[in-house]
Amino acid sequence: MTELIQNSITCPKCASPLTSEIFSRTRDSSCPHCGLVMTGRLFPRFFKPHDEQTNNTEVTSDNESSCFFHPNKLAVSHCSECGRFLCALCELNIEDKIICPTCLEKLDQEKKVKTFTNRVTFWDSIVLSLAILPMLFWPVTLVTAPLTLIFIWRHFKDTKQYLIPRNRWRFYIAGLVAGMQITGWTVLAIVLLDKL
Amino acid sequence: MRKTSAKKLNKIHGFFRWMNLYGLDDHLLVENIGGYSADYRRFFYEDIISIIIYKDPVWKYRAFFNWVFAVLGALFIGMTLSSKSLSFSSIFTLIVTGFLLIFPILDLLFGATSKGQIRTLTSTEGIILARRYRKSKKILGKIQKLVEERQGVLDDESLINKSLEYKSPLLSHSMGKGADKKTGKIPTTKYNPLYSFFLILLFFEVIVSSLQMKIQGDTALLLSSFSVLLIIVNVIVLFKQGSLYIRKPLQILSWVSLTTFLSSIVVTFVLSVIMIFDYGLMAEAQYISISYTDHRFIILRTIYLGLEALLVAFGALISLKGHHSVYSIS
Repeated sequence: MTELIQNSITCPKCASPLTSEIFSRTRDSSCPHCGLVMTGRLFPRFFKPHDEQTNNTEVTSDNESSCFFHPNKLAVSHCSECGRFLCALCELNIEDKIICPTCLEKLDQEKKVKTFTNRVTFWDSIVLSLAILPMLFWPVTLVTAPLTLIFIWRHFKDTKQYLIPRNRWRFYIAGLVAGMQITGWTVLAIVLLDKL
Repeated sequence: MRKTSAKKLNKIHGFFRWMNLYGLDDHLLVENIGGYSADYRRFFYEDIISIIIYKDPVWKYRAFFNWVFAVLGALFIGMTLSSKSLSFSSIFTLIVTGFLLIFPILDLLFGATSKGQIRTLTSTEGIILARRYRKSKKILGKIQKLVEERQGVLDDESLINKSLEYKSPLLSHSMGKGADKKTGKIPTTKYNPLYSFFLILLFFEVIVSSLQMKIQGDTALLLSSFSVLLIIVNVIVLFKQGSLYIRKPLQILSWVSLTTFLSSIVVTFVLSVIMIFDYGLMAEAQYISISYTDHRFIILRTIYLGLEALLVAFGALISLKGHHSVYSIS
């Protein structure tokens, strides 16, 4: 008998097994034990075998190519980065490219794999706050205005590398505000020097 | 790396954190933004086994407190309005107090809050598709289409067939709490609109009676304010089918009011008929303290009372039938 991935789907509240009525597409239902009102969707993946085969066969003759990492396994593809032959186990389909484990590790260290990015810092928001918030205590802008421009120069291209690309309007506004602050300080310095 | 196309499914705004839900080409992306950074969670369509959304169990307690504050607010508004003069501070307080009424109305309009659970090949995680249960169902529908593009469709009939084929425990219908002993099914909650109808009738009567019986001052306006508020609640509940835990107190209240109302109407009707036949229409007019202008008014009023009594009795019988199915839900 084909094994199911998991034997049952359980209630989020009381952890008792749920019935197929919960996954009805026409109406809501409730847990038969705790009465929690819920609705759900079950997908065909539930019924697919856990050990779904990927045809990882062995090399049978010298004419066949073998995997670089598993010499006794038949090669089914090659790495798009380094060109090494890969078996069904080693081929990794990342962002529609076939990559070997070694290249994947290398790309991850270079932070070139967006799929592995779990945390992003929004430098555009930081820069905008750095430009605007210090105006509440305006003398601080003497320091924060140049800092803002430095951060803009340093992180301007980051927005396009976010998982969900963002507009750069925050950089533009922060740059404009910081520019105005620096201009203000410059004018103030000239006036003070002139008076002295 | 190639450019991905992200379809924004929903966003939930909070005070310091908010969440965006995106449907990308091959996975669902949950973006939790807090401060100046965002954390991401991915659920690949190929790996998703099930998604369940449910009404937040805590919502009923929050709704209860919203209602308590709303009723207090309504009473305060009634008392303030009944005063002879309104100062600026009392008007300001009225406005602020009015905000207390917004929360329960929002709860009734938009329904229960919701949570969710997504199960993949490797893990089971909590997920919030939308703040409200009704909207969550719409988002679930969108996600369902995205997943079905990858995995294929599993409709109700296929689910039953596959469960039979693989002898899945999904087919087990346990006799849970509130289940019907013959069919094993749990009746779905459906608010009987007649509850609302008779409650609305009662509150109109309270308003009219307080005016007719010349209750003056704060008491009349207090009763009227409370009545108006409950009329609004009932109209909304009638059409929006709000939470069971709000309908239950209203149902209890409606039963109490039906009993007393029916009794009073029957008594009034009987007394009116007796008085008309024994002492004539003039006496009846004097009894109900109105100027005797037209005998047809007296007769019509008596007929109205009789019809009302019949209607209330009929409604009580219907409500008795509806009462059982509603109260069988835990």
